[in-house]
Amino acid sequence: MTKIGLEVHVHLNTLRTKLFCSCSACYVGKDPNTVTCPVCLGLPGAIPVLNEEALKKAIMVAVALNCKIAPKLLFTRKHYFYPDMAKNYQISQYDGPGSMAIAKDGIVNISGENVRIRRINIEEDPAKSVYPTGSMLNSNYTLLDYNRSGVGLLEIVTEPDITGAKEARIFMEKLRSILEHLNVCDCEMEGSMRADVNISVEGGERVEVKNVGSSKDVEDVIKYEIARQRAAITQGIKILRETRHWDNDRKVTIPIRLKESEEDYRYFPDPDLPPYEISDNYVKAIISEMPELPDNRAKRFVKQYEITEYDANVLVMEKALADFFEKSAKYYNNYKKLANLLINDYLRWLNDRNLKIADSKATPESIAKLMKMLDNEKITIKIVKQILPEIIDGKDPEEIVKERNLIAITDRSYIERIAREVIEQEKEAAKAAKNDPRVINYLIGKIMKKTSGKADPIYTREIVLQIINEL
Amino acid sequence: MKVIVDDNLIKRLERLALIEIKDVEKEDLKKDLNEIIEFFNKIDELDLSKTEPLFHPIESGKLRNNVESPSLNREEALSNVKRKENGYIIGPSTVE
Amino acid sequence: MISNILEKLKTGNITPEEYVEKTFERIKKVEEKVNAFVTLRNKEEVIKEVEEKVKSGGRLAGSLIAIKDAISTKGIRTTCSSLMLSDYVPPYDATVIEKLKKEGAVIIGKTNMDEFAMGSTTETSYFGPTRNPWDIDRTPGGSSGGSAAALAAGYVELALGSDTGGSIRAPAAFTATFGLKPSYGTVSRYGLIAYANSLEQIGPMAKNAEDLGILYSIISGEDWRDATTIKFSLEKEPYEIPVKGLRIGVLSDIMEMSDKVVKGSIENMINKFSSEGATIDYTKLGYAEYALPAYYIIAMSEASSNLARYDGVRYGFSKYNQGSWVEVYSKNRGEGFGKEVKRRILLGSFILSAGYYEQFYIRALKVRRLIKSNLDQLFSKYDVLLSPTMPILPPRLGEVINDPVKMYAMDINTVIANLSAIPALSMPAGFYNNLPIGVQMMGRYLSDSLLIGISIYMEKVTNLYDLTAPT
Repeated sequence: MTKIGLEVHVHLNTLRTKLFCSCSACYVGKDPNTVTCPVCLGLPGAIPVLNEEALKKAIMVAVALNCKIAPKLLFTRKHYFYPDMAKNYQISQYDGPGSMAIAKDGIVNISGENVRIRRINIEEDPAKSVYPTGSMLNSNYTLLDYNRSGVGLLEIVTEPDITGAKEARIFMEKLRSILEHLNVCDCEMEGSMRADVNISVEGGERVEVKNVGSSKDVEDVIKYEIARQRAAITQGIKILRETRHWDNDRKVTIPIRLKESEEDYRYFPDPDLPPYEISDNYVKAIISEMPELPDNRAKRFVKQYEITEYDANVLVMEKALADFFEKSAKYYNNYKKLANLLINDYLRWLNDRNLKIADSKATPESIAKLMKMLDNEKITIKIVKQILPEIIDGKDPEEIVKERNLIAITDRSYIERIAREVIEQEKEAAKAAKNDPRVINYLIGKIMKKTSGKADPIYTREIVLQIINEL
Repeated sequence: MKVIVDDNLIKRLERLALIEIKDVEKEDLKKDLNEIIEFFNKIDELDLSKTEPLFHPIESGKLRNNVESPSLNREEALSNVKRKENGYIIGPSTVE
Repeated sequence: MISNILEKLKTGNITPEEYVEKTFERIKKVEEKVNAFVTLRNKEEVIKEVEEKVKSGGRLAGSLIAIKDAISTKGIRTTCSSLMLSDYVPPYDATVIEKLKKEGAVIIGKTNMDEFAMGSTTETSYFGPTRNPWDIDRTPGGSSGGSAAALAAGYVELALGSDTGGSIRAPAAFTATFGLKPSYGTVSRYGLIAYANSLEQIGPMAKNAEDLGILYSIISGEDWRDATTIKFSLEKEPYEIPVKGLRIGVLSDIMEMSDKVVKGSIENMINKFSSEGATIDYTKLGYAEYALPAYYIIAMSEASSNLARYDGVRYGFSKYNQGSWVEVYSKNRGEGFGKEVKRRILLGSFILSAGYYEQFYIRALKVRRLIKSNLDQLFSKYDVLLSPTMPILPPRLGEVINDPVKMYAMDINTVIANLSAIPALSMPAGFYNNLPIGVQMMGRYLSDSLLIGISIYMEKVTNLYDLTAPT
């Protein structure tokens, strides 16, 4: 049986300040070492104080993942020396004397499967390392930027309940959606969500693949690893505990040198951070102010907009899309059609061009206009699909249609004339069409081409069938 | 557990604490550590089975508002850095 | 009395220049023998600053103060008397420094200490030992020996020290000055270069109890940058409290462990208390011989963690920079730290390491709880617990430094207060052969004002205050 567990690190990049100091948490794009202070630089004498907003966000995530929340907030020091570590220990959480995770024992449902959440930890990020030669392996020294040092992270660890690559991807997507809906993480930013993937197949020990970037990568990593491990086992090679690295260019996992012994982190409770009580009332207050979770939102969509469960789930997978849907729904009330357009053509077009929903300049009003024009038979569905990209670029649909004369042709006699022309040129096809309905589509396609997609598809089909029958 | 401070333990501690102990220092160090650990063992005499450890003298900590304060400017931040390059701090190689 | 100087400066009876010149003259005369300072500021700069501060006002307007070199002072070298930080100049002020500056105090220099506060005699300093102004062949105690010597040698009226296991009180006792280890959490540690965070406090040192009180009232108070400070602010400056009716418990087990001549001085003091109407009772501290190992286990563990950050990358001794971080750090730390510091870091790492954590660290924390409970019980019967501050007379240089356990044994009277967070004050009790002996008073948590108030009353009874050594 394949067992997969994930350890996901989420950057708390929607927090205004870092975890234990008041430096700005918006470090992306800033010149190196311009967003630091004695605390995040690890200067002698500097001590940490936790950002309350980080605690609130952690509690929200814990609630969303159905976890038990710790009665006290406790931190531990995890010791290891490394150039990117400002203090050569990381302030984190650990289950041991005097310390505990902020939350544990949660559960998430992924298309019918239950994935248990082992724990959620709050911890700080180290500095960013840049290698002068571009690669760690042949650089004589490391360039360090402490802007990122001290930024908050949530570590979310699952039990090895995930059964396959696809399920893992869905888990990551669902988690991402929850984090976006709670405004805990702007998951669009690079590096905002990373996973360590643990995989074991029957007959072998678990292999850890570190630092995998996206949901898609997670799926690829697992597919590759399962295949690799299975192949090895059939050849009689035993799979041992090890850590590997994902090479995204070659799409393979490569071994990192096996460590001789487990690192001794010498965990002990951080004496600079006395326990902070998390009362039931405190949690209740946070819950009452929590934004709507995606699952609840999807249920509401089904009820409020009468769309299918499937469509609702796809919409909430990305908060920005669900937001756009609801905004557009204010201007256009055939919600089923709207959902359909957004999920299929709109989303697909953006994905194909690697654009984010936030990059789209389409407005709810322009989408609504577009749909109304279709409903009024002013334009055909083919035209809708054709001009959607320009609407995404920010153009107004009415203007586009006007400029390029894309108004639907609903004049039956005109359509008939074109149809007869086409059928005249396609005598063979016309004959075949009598028996094979697929050929009718071919003929319709030809007519669409001749009318630049403007011929009303329903009328066109009727007319073609009529003409074919006459033959 | 009886603790004997031998060369192995010294080596392990050197690695844990990243402090190089020169050979000339080793003998004295072993002697001192043995003595001090013996001194620590005094607390073994007590029956502590019903006592909870006291981790923090202050029972309840506090939290900070999510409000930005000005950071150090780069010159200040790097004022004690011996080796820098283009605003970065130079650290040692990360390859063991 | 600082009030005298303040008055004279304010009325113009003495000019800032005269005040500073006189101070520097005195320092020049004896400093070569005493070695109280690691860094003495430029005289002209100091004069200018005193002039400014006399004009701008404040409760300490223009007063010179000596600061232990473990406390961060912006722009003034802060070394912790270690080669590791011998050229470190902090870019920020500790909170207590900000508070002092706000009240017009002027820092004259940074005082010598045991390296990283690890020691009881100021002999582990990289910059050479400080000598006791009362007897140049003897130590002034430690680790705040430089601050105490600066007072006793007549350089300044005010100083700051830090106390982890007696580091303010031991030097106060050995130099016939006054020192307070405040209740834990009443003085911010932000900017105090950490040795053992759950045990230490910055505290005032002075030549009489009123000045001690003034200093304490200025530096104490909650700090949002230190999560271990409590909601605390002194409503009034401490004032004289007559001891009539005061219930004093004399710690006879501690007395028994002290030298005969020390005991004699304390008995004298007890008689004086009695004459003034206090009720004297002989009691036992209990667990005294366990307190010492427990203290050192906890202190060394925290130290090994707090000193992990010294690797030469962001600041500090960095002679070595070729090779991997393992080699570079090992060499820099091996050479930058002194013998005692290295010992404590290695032991601390050992205590926290897997396999020994329960045996030593957790057990020590249990002993801590026992001691605290014991003290709570004692304080239900007594207002003040009294004992000699130190079990011995000031040792000769070299007498204890080569025998670690003997050196640690000096702290037996003082570590109790650090372990249990309660306040403890040392004031002069007498002399033996011109060597100072101090008496220690411990009070309930947050009874700092009471201790200072009693001291203000009793110093007039003993007439042992504002004493300057005849060097």
